[in-house]
Amino acid sequence: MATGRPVVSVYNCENPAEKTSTVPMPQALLSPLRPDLVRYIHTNVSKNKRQPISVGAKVGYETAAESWGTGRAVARVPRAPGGGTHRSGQGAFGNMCRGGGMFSPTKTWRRWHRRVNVTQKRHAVVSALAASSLPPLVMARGHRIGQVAELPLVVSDSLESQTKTKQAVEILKKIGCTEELQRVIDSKKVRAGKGKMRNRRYTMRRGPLVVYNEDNGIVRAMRNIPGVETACVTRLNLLKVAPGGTLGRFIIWTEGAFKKMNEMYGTLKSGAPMKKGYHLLRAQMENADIARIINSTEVQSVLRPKLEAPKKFALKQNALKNKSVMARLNPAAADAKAARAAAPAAAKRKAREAASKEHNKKHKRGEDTFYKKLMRAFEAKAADEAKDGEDAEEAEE
Amino acid sequence: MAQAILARASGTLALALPRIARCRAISLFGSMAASPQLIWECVKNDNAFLRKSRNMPVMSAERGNLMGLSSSKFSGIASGKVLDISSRKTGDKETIILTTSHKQASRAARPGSRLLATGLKKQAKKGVAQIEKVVDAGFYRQDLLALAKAKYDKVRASFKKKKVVVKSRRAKA
Repeated sequence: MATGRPVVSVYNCENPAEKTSTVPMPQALLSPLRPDLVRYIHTNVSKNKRQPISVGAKVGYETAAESWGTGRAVARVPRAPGGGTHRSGQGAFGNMCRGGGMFSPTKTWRRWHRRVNVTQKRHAVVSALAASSLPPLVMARGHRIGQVAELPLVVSDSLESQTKTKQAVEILKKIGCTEELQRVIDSKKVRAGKGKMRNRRYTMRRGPLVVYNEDNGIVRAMRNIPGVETACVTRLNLLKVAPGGTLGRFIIWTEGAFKKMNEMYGTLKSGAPMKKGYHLLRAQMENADIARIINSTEVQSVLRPKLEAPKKFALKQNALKNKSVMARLNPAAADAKAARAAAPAAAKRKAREAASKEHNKKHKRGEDTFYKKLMRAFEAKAADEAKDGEDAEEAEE
Repeated sequence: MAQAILARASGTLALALPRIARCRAISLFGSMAASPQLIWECVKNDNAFLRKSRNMPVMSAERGNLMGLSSSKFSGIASGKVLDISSRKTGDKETIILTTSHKQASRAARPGSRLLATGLKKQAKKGVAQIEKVVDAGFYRQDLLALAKAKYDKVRASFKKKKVVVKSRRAKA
């Protein structure tokens, strides 16, 4: 991929604002990111600096204790012999006894160290270095790189011949590491736990890792700067490049070291000149940008058109029977129906009334109404009764 | 003579084909292995910006995160295109800042100038128009347009000073 490799600027040590030259990115720094591999290798390799510890071999067994057997009204645990002291007759030996040995005493011949395949170790280092050149990962690890000009940060070779710490600090600050160094200094705290009484009193964060090619004073100059670590290119340690098994340590390269990476690791095709039999890690997917792949013309042009979800129809309802459905289809239907219903009735009523009026006009009864007839009849009857009464009265007289 | 021409022609052909094939494989970040999805997978569970608390969604404190949520959609570090609206105070003056990522791919390797901050007008109509111009007309994170406008309104509202009415305990009425 020589044609596609990006180019990295080298910054002048004395005046970090200016760029002296450019170097093409070594193939090793374009390796795939393998956090799983790095974590696995780190957990194993970090076990390799352990020193064996154990409880004393004879602890708990330096008595001449013997069990009293049965028949003495005591438990059958071995007991310390003799007399004249509290210790006599007390239980001994077992993990359940006071002053006895522990269950399964720890041994020095526990398997403390782990061997890891050389190729895997190399892959892990290369992957961690690739991660260190990506700003998102370095930021995510917690390094303050807001002022840093570029990642990977390559500085001219004069950094390697610095002898004074003061000047080294100044150079680091000019490069943009002020915030980072300050973060380390601010993070110094007394360690929580027993470590504080075991010569590991303070903890602090890890700052930048300075990778050099030739040590002309740089190691001693930077030895005393809190947080800063140095490493030679040819001997890169995963525990420094990926502390805690996390990707993305902030690395400052010198120009010589950066160029040496090419010589050490070579390219995918050539193999690694300085690492016998080693070929750089290959990615499972060369282009991992899935969004771009999906949206590319090659993929989009062979996709079938998007399927629309089948239209769902509700159960059909009869408009002639269902008022709301009819209203949806024909908003004027309701009014029309009402008008139709009302029209003949109203007309009929009107006609009836008119006819009735006509009839009444035509056939005026005048004096012949029912009421008047009735009253006349009553009057006649009343007159008859009055007459009878008069007759009766006349007869009495 | 003819042979030389043929050789030259085949030579150039041989150069051209692999170059085209290689160009396809290079992603924006100049590295084969650095797509946003991959970076998010590396970073989602374990990064310096993660802020967790009980009964709350997982939040993220990085610059460029519109909602402050730890999610690949809003992430300010593991995203090809970043969009954020925030406020910045310089002395007495408060400004509304629109943060986007640079169009130039080479800027992705420069931590200082990875993100571009432009100011937004505090006048509501103009400010929203600016947002729309960048997002809608610029086809840049249109999925965040509605949220960006909402956040803009909230930032504007936060600039208003609230009058604190102190009720005197003595005045009981």
